Amino acid sequence: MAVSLSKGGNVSLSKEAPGLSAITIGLGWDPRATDGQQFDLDGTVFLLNAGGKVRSDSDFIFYNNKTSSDGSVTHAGDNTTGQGDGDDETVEVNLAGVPADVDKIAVCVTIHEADTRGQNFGQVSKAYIRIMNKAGGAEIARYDLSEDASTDTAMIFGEVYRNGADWKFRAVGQGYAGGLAPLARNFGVNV
Amino acid sequence: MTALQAGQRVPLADLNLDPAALDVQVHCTLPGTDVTAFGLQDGRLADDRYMVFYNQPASPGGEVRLTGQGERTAFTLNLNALPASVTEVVLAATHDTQPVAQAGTLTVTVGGAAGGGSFDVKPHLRAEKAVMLVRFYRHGGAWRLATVAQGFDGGLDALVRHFGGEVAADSPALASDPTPPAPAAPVNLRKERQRVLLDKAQATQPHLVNLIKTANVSLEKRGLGEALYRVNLVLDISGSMSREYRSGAVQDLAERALALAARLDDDGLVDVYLFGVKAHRAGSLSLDNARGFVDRLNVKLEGGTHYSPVMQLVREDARAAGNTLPTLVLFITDGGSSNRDAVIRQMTDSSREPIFWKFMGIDQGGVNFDFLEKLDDLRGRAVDNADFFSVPAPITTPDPQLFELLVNELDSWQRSAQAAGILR
Repeated sequence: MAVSLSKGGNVSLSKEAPGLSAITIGLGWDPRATDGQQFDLDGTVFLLNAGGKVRSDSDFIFYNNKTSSDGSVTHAGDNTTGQGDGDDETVEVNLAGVPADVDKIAVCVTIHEADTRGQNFGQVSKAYIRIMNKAGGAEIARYDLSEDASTDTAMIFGEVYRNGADWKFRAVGQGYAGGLAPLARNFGVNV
Repeated sequence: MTALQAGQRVPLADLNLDPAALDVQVHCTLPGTDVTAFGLQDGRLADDRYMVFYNQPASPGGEVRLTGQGERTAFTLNLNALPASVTEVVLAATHDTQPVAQAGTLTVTVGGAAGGGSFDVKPHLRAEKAVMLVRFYRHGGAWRLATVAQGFDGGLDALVRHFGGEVAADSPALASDPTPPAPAAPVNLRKERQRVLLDKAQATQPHLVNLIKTANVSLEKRGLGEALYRVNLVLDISGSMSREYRSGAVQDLAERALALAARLDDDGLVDVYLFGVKAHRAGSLSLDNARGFVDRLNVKLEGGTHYSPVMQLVREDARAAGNTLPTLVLFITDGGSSNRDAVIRQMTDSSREPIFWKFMGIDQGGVNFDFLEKLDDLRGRAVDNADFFSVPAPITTPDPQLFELLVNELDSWQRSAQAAGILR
């Protein structure tokens, strides 16, 4: 049973899931059943230093940059329609392999071209983002985007951060105006 | 009153609304727009009685009630009183021919004793002829409101298919299919169409209402309540029929064919053919032109009776229509045909096509129907694709009996044609 985190709440991953060494971030939604442009949700990860910024642009892991330079983060690819069962997009983070100067990993979700398509999470059926223990797939935290983030188009779902030798997860659940590009700029990426 | 955005999902309590006493008003200025409240079970229209619209103004327990019509369609909702099987209520606006966005104004107002919200739907629409406006749904033990503003360019058909075709999450094989089949949809859609036609009859041709209901009884008895057919009416215009035309008997028969079409045919149209020596297409009979239809045909009687050319014409038109629906041909004559070999060939050849021939002989006395009897029992056909009955002239057969005769054997033909792969 996943820990149900309310916005702002945090959990020690190392305590909840002893021996946790890698996480899978899952993003899922139902394909659009009505007429109109498809909903295309994108999962994105930013590797951040103690100052909350990327060390370089390659710390911005998304559908066009699927692997971090050190190989610790892998984006499994872009599903542009939500077609298929289970998670539509996944990103894997090998916590043990994350370089020491990365203090925090921000996990985000955005709707592709939300503004031009006039879309938000509430219009998408059964949209969620969740974090799982890669070993065994047990769910650690989940956010129901359709219900809780309904009028948002981009969101910082949460952050995985170092706490001494442990990793912790904080459910941020913070909507972010403007989509992926401003979000990336916020974290210091040149876009 | 809070202005609501598209895609918003909000507990009713947050809008100071009481789920047990909601007033919902849909203001739409496009004439001909229908607003319907669909009570759904997990996205599916599981029970027609929870579909509330002008022809069914309240759900069984009065939980959903239509309280105003016209430019401002109004409903009162007591969501708390709905059975647990109704998990959501979706309000939808549909138009037969035009995108709903053609409306100058399309807003939804949800109100109660205090609080409420309003939603301007129009800016979010494109070419949809059917639009889900808002939905009320159970979530975490409370009722929520979602502003939807999404729909289907294909109109009501597509919307009902959507409500029938939701695929359960526990059937992975289907869930991965981009266009899941919609098994239950045609049923509900048919009922909606039939209601519309009956409603139209009520408004324009009240004398047809009882005929349609009587026709329905005969169809239901044969399990044909959901059957979908093209209906053709073939009329004999040989000289001997003159009395039947003058007396109005042919018009009466045409109206009975129309009553059948109102149940069997999506459009409620009857394609009419005339034959004597030659075969003629005579247009379509519908609820719009039924009154005086036969008079306006200005039939010129012909000095002979040839079935084969008109049968050929009927078969050609069925083929041109794609043979996707079966065709029921009501074939009215008062005598036998010339060139019988050609007729027998038509019958035999068409037995491999999705066409059922119903021959009705008007018995004026002195004409024998041996040939029609023979056609009914003809050998060498893929399936038995015809039935014959005769009624004495003038036609005084009571309607319940007449409809029984008109649809007799249609069910057994449908089954054998399906078994033989002639009909899907």
